[in-house]
Amino acid sequence: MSVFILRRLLQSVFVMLAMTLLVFFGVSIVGDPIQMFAPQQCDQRCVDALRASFGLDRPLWEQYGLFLASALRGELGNSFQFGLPALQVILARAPATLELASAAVLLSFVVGLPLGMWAGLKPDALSSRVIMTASTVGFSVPTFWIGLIFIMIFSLWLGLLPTTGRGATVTVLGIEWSFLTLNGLSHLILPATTLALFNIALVIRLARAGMREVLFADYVKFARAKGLSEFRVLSTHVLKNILIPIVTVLGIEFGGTIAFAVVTETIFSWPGMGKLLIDAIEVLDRPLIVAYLMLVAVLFVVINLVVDVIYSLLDPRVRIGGWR
Amino acid sequence: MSGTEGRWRALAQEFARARGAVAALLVLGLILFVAAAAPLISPQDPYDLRQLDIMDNLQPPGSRAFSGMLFMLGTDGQGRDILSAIFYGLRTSLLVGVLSGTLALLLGSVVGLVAAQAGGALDSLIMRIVDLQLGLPPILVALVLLVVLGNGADKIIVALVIVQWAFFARTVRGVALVENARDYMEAARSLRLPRLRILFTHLLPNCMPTLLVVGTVQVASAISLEATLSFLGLGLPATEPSLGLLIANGFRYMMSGNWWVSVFPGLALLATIMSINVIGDRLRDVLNPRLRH
Amino acid sequence: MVFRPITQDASRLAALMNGEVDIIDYPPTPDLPRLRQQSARFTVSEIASDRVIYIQMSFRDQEPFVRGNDGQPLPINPLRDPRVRQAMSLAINRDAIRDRLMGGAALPTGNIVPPGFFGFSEALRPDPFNADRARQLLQQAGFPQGFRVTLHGPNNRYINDQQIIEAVAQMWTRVGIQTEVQTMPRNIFFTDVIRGDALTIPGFDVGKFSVWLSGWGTATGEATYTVRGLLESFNPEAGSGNANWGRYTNARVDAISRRARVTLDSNQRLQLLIQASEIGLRDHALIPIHFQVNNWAHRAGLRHQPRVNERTYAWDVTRAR
Repeated sequence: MSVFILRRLLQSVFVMLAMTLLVFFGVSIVGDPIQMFAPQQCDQRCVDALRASFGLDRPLWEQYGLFLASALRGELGNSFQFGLPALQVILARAPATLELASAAVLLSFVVGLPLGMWAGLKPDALSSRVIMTASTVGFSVPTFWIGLIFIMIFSLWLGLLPTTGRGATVTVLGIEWSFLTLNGLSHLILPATTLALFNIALVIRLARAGMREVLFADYVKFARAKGLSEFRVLSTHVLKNILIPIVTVLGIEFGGTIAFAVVTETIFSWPGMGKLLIDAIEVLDRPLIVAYLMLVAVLFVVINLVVDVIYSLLDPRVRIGGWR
Repeated sequence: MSGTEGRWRALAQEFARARGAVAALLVLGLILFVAAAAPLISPQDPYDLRQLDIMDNLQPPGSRAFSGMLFMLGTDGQGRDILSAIFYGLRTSLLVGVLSGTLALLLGSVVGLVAAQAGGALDSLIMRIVDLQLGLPPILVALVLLVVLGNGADKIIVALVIVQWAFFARTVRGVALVENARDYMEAARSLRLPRLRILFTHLLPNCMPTLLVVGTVQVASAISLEATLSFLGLGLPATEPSLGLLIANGFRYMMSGNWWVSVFPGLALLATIMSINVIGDRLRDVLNPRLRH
Repeated sequence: MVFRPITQDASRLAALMNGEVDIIDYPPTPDLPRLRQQSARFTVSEIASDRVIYIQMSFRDQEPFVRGNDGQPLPINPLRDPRVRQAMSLAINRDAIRDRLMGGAALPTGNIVPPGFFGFSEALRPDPFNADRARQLLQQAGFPQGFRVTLHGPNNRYINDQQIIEAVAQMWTRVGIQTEVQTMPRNIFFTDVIRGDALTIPGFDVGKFSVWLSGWGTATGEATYTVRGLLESFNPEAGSGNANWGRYTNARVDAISRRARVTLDSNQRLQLLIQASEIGLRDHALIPIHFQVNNWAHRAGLRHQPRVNERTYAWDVTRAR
């Protein structure tokens, strides 16, 4: 087990390094940031000074080396737009995105699991067919469009929910969370649901497939033969076994959900780091783009590691460590 | 080859048993026809600025232009007929989706086959790269690529190919490994048949079913991703709006009650993506009976 | 007192209509009529801005974004012909832009300083919309089939800048000047259009665009700085023409503008400024479209004092009795 974790950690480091290379050199190709941000009255001396202050006059390899060194210290340069350390700017907005993504994943569990299990239990019922069709819709609908439709229906026509922004927050452990207030929740529902649709569809399908597979397994028949109530059979034996692929997929999807939040945040003006990225891309604020990608890479690596560990705990076959 | 023909016919019959899938096929057929025939059947060429009149902007569905033309689905902020814009927009979306999907399929298949045939260290290396690529969220990869490459239809296709090729590579490699171990492959090798011939006449046909399923799902997500990128402003030029850009532009008019600018292009997009997904689902059921419920 | 940046137009308006915020700036123009209608719930405050939105063009012999209909470079730059420029101005339907795009929040103009400002010319009227005359002029200038042009501009700087650019493109195409549109975020746009300033960023003495949309706000209240910046020839040492990115030069305008700057007598200076403006604008050094009208929308129960300089200050908002 520890060998397994060690090996994964090493792979993660390698992945991170590859990411930094790609990100740094990729973004360096794009235009000269000094031209973008130098004030109009800047003459050649002023431009040179600006360039030196950002460290952009050194050869690219040297810049990369410096970048790596300071990245390990936790410094990723100052944002061109804000003048503040890029990492600080992103981290300030990260809780909002994490909250949104977590709410979406939670929703996909809470909504998708029961619906999928029902569809697996009674696959020929009309309700099941409706559920499966709905899951195909949820799979196919473009997130940005359904977000607009939600705003139109629930905010404009019905006036039930607010359209934009994050609601009132409560500070816990030094970070502001908005789901702890009623107002915050009302702001969270639409964006979280929009973001969750794809995942809900996914969970429904996985749950249904899992149900079909597990319901006819020997150990379930055995449990039924033993005289256990249907509910007990479902909740103890069946549930545990269909949870494995669902947890794995959701874990992997969590990272994807965080990334895809850029679209949802743009529509709902949710003050998360995804929106920050889109704005930074528009004005080519290189340090901010790099900082965002680095943070997301770290998040991904951590999430994948956690998922692997949980998976190995749930499925004893994997614990041997040789199942790659 | 009558055996294969018979097999395809049986598959088609099996496919047709699900009414939903047949309906999806019809819908997709209609969409393809509309997209192909767009210049012929559109009331207006929405990309030709000469035919637009700002005096006709934001007209509701069913109204008429000063010239008498009927705006069946209304107009957008520049006076563009929404129906025509949808026809042309579908064209762009389908072209970009299918082209990038096909290129990704070709690229991925080659890589996958090479990995399977080579084995050993090369296989390991390739699969590491594939895993890395698959771990990255498509939207971020596409965003960063477009920032580096700039805007334009060709750049988007490149970005989408890079996002998708790894799916095909992994699939093809998987199938190739399985097939390689089979008896008939052993037989073909012992007969000293040329490698390429083995590839084309034996390996590829067996990869086809899986490729077909993966391909349809990929095309659907490529179309969705292109629309999302256009929505974020990283897509095609403003005077040749794709469906995503139409929806984005429509957002600003939605509040004042001009809902049609966003809703109709979105419905067209949804119909396209959904029909492809339904067909892909059915194909998966038909071609992998073991997984069918 | 909370300032909440909401960059999406629609979201900003929705926030006001849902009661999440009390006052917004730049309400989306398509919604102004509706807001005005709901006078029990909302009030719209407006004031004509000092900012003029105009089309500017470049006068080099060869322009990268001006081509013949076959895509080949032209032997002469059509933009240098005042008849072509006038045609381009006549092709623009300023009233339609005001009514259909700006929700009425625009003041079509032929001036570069707003009415009431020192230097405004009564004689300069906005060019009336006349597509036929525009085609005639193009024919007289030797371009019966028109030509091709790319119109550049920012997409997040001025009110409805993207939409105005697209509308102008439409209108020009209708008279034969096939127009492509390329817009970009403001920092990228202004960097590229200013690059013609050889002395601030050497090596870049070639401005990137040929025809573009821009804006200018006369913050000083009088036309001296505006005429000098927009109409006088570009001369970094003398400090003139700093917004004359197209490098328009007219010796008469230069002479009069220079004289105006050293004339202390107000009336005389006024006449000189008006004269310089009239000469330059009749020659279509640039094509003014309109003055923006700045709008704010707030809930009933408040009173807002709108500002000409487009700023929103907290102390301009008071509770109504």
